Amino acid sequence: MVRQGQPGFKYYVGIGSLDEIATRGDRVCVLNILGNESRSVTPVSHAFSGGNVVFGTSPGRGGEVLETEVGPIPVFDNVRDGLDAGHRFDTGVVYLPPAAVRHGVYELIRVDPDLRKVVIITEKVPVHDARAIRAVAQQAGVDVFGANCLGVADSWNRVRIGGALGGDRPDEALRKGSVAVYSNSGNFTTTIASYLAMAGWGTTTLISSGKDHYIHYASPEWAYAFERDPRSRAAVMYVEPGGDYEEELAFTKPVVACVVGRWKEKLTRSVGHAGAIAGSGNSARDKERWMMEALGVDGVFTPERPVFGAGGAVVTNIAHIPAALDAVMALRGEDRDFEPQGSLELKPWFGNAQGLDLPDSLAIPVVEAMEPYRDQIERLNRQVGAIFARQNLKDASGATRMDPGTGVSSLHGVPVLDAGLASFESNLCLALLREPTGAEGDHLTHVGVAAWAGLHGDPALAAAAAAREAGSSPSLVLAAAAALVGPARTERARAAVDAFIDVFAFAGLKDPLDGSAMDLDAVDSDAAPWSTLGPVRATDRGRAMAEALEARAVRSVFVDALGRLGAGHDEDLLLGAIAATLAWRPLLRRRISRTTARNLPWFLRLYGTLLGASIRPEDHGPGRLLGWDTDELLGSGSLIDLAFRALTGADPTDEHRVALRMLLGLLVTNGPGTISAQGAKGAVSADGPESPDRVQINKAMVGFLSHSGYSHGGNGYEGIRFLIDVLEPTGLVDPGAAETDVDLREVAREYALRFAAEKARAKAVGDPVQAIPGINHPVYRGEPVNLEPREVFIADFFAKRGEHNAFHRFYKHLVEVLYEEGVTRNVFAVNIDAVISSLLLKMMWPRHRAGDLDEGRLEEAAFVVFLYGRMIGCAAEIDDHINRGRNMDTRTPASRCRAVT
Amino acid sequence: MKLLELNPIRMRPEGNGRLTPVACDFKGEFDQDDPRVARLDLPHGLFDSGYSPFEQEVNRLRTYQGQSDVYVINTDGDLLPLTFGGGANSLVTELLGDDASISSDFGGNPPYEKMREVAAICLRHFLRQTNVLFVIGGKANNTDIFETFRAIADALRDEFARRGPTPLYVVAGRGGPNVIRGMGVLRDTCEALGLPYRFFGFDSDMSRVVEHARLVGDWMRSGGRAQVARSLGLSLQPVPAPGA
Repeated sequence: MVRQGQPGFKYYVGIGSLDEIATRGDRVCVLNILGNESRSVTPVSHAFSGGNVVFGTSPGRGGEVLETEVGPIPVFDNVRDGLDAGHRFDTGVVYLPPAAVRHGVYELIRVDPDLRKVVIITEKVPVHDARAIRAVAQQAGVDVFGANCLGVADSWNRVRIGGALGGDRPDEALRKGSVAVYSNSGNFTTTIASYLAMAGWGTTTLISSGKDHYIHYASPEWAYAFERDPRSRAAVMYVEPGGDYEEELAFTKPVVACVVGRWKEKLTRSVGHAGAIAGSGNSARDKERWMMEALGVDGVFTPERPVFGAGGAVVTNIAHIPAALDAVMALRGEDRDFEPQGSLELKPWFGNAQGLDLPDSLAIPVVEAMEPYRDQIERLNRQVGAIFARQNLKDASGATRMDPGTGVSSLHGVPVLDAGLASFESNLCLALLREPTGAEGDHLTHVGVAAWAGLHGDPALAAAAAAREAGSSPSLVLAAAAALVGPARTERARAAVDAFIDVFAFAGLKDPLDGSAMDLDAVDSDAAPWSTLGPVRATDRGRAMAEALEARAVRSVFVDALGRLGAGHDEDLLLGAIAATLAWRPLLRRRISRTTARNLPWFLRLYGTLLGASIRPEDHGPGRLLGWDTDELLGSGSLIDLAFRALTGADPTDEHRVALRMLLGLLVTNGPGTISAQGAKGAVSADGPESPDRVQINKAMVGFLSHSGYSHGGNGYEGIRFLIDVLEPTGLVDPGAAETDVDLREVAREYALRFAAEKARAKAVGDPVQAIPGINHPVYRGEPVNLEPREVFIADFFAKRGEHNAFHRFYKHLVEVLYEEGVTRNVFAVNIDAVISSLLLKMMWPRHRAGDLDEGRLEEAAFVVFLYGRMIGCAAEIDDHINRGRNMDTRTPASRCRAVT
Repeated sequence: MKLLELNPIRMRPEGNGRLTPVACDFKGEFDQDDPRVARLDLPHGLFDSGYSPFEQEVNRLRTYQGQSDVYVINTDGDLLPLTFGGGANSLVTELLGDDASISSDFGGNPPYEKMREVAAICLRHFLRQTNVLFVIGGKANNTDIFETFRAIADALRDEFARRGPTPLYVVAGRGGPNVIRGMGVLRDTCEALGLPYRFFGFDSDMSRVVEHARLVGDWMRSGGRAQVARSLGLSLQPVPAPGA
């Protein structure tokens, strides 16, 4: 049966009056209800409209629900299923992606005989599809709003359908009154309503028409319904160029029309609204003329030259709408709907001239915002540190990223190659503070980490030793120790950070390293925050930490404050003071969150424990580690010295320090997709980062460690094994010499020929061909000569320092002779693993030749050096996931898992 | 196709004396939002000719999630408006005229990543010549102000970190979901970078906010830029010459 439309139209129009557009009786079905936009908007609309959404669809997710304040909305795979379940609706809302919109509308029309209205929110619907939608909807007798609109709303009925008119606070903009609003701009629909409310005008029905080439519910239909709506005394139209919908409109009630876009006509392409582009005869000037004719005025209304009549006014600036409406309605002797709610004066909510000499016209004083924004600003000002938006962090990270083009990863924006030039301490902090630290930061970090490396008498050492004896891999040895550094062991240190923030942030401390910044006499030792720390526990470690800071000439307001409180040798509180000092500036600048600052002591202690656990138990003694006494360990040297001694048992030269720093920098991260990062992130996700205090950072470190192994991390040894096999028999003495007695190219050629023969044999019998460790990286196939950017950088770096590495040089020869001998079709890249093996083996070579480092120790060292570097990147992932992630966000939906037989 | 114009059309006499119309030239406009256009296998880059490198770069991010429309108005413009919403775009384009380097619309609730990338491209191309970074939109319905402002703030930080500071004044006008948190992030960034700023809520007349940004531009041109440069510890930087 053909539906009877409104009389007088050459096409179907169902709506007779504006009060029919969004009513309390409308029942709504939302297509793609679980899509990103709908998920945030639909619950607000649903609650505001008294629960008008009966169900939604989302293919493949039938059975789920969308939670809202007024109860859950059921979700079905398709519209038919929803109807079969007994739901009935007359209004469809479409949130589908553009290519699916047409089919979505077809589905609604095909299966729902009750359908009367469709609201299409989607942008960028093809013109071709819009035409097809129009044809089908016309035939079925359905009114279509949009596309590319923000839906419709009714302030009298307190209903909004589709889109988000009024935003997340519909009550603020949708005030009941007597003005209808029709707007080509969704945002301006709400903005105009807000402006009207400030001038004392409320609204009836608001329509965001959309501004695509096709406007299905356009000005003529709207004008018809406006005339017939008894509630609407006047209307506001917002009109942009393009289309001829406004030609020949006629009104008996007053209208203020805002026509914009004169300047925009110079543009030859549309920006923003697809249809807002002038063709011939429908420019802004034409539209101004049409509207002036319709409203009986002969000019544009401005505050300086107010042209208006009883029929209305034309403005070209939305801010002039309230004044024009006031004038028109006053002329007609009609009153405002309510008292004006404010003015549109310039009111800066935030501002700082940074001490510049601004002219008076620009130096507008910051004013208090209206409620509830004033209260929000006040709360914002009280908040210390950054707050990050939570999102699903599966395979995503705010801390690390890998550039797939160059293969160079970065940590908080610092490429690993640059990290390789920074100190170990600085990188340990970069992971958590999101910026490198300076020399004083290095000293603080050294003391805060090295203090926990000596594990004599600590059960963590026993756990590590037991794991080692049981034959576990180095990663598991470290994990055993980490498991014992649970939340309770750093609770006081973390509480101390909280106390420092509570006492000093609000006292205005900017720089904790500046002793004169604060009058410590004013620190009240009875202040409430201190009482959470419990009685002071002075220890020998605490004394050593305090003395080391003294020896390193680092002054911290917090350390000084502890001294005054009589807690200067309390190791936990000192750790808290060190962490607070490190975190202070990024915290105040809101680079990091308060959660990160509070967790920093835990990370520092874990760093120290992992370093300590990598050192054999016999090297730990009372007050001693690796032959250093604690005062020496904390008071002098750097963590790179400790790491080098832990790896090789020897003291480093400057050359060694540079090489080990570079090595650790390279190993920091390879982005969030690596297995180690996934392990760390999964552990956080499982604890539930939305309750950040419950996340066990030591467990997350165990996650990283358990996700490192002989293939990922321990494989560094493969390259070392290969280099030893090939080069040890040559009698190579000093791999750091500019010239070696060994002809590396010849050795490489011999190896290449052996490899070719072995490859041919393996192929003949169908055996797999073993790849050469350190080359043959598939990413770089295809070029005549393949180069790994990181390898090039490092080769250049050491060449500039005048340093030599026979192993690295051998690799360069090898890829060339493999090509020369026809083994490879192009010159393969020497990859980063080869560089790492070469750097590491060069450090160990003298002791290996001397027989001090057997194969087992070499393998262990290669694995451990990976763990040292990667614990930095994984600490960053852990902290990032705690701050930004969602509970259980790393799991894979069952629908994407496969069963294998 | 959205438009097809055959012009000129000439009449060709046939042997039998009848005239046949012949289209001598045509102009067509494809609907680039329509996937059917891809089926035509038109030469790659055909549509690039009318776009500047900057526009092409932004267009690559074009998806249906959020707008990312840009149009270079004046390659020498020293106001960089990042505009949200088609209506705001019309207003800002109208009121700033040639002072603006671009006309833009980033409305439609773009996700953080997309907004950050778009902002990074805008800043990379225009920040050095810009006196006023102007973030402007009405009272948003569904665009998350925290997400979009945070993305812009992070892109600004990155640009300063990558290529060093540049004298700049930041003006913003906005309302909508999470507006205070969004302004808070932008404020913190301006504070961290030492930049002067003024942010207006949606209860300020938007056209007057645009006018304020224009006046700030005037002031920056007549000595303000040098003042900001000094306060940032930069050597005196003249306003970039046209075409620089």
